Amino acid sequence: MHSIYARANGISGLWSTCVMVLLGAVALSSFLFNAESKGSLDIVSLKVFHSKTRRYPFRNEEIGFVKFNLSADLTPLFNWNTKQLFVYLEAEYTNAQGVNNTVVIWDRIVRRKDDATIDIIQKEKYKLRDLSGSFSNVLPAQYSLKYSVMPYVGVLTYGEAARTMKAIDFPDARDSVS
Amino acid sequence: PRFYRGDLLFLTNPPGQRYHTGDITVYRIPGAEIPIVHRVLETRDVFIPFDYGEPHPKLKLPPGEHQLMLTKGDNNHVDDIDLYRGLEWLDRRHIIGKVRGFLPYIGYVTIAMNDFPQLKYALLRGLGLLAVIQRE
Repeated sequence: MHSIYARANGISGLWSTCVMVLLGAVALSSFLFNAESKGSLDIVSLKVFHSKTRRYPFRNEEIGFVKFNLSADLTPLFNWNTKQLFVYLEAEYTNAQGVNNTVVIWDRIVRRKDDATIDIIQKEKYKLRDLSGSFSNVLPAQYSLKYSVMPYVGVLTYGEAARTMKAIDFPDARDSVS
Repeated sequence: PRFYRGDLLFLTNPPGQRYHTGDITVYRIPGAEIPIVHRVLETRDVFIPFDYGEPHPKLKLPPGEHQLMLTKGDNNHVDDIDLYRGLEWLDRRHIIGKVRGFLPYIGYVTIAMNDFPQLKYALLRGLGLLAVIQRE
């Protein structure tokens, strides 16, 4: 260590090693927090209408409109390494041809612990439609609330916070305001 | 999803892996230059039976199992259809990988080098000079 170059080399090597160990420790600390959160999810109403989407104005499709009652407490998931929480409500169903579908109908980004309790009755954000264009051959659907924890540094984790108790059948399609 | 320019993402892409809604995927549309990092909004597992002589007329897919996906950026209001250049669904082969882990700000060194080529040349010149001056 008798030249500036050697000293600078040594210091920068030590500094980068320290930073990497620190980031690794922060990432590993996420595994210490094995928090889970529970909530409850009910479907208030589910209606299916013959509709056209703005994107495909020439297709006659059946679109499902869901109103749901959701309450969940997600505060246990916030720790010092949590940057934000992405919460999404999804519908899972299988249609008669055996196609498994999972469709996200509502989502929310939660950035602070104060915003982490959800207690809402709301309608869906995204359209619920089937590949075949109709819900008449579709088996009953389960709805579940899932979350994804995004850390500052480290591994993304996923989990499920709530689920409907039983599968809910799709009603027959109606024509909208006529 | 709150990834900024300069973050390092760790991706996995094992061959048989099913993708789920909520996964953050990196995909590239053929013909597009840059890959896009967005979250999966819908997945539909279709199986095209081998009975059909030609690809399924409605879905335009070869026979076999396919996992069709629709993605959306978290801060966008609509899904990514406009980015798909004519495709209606993403298929497994468009996906480069799924984001598993994340290191912020590490990429800035490379970005600084690319945005300021003078920096790259200055560093190269400095290193060349050091190599010449060094005794050992």
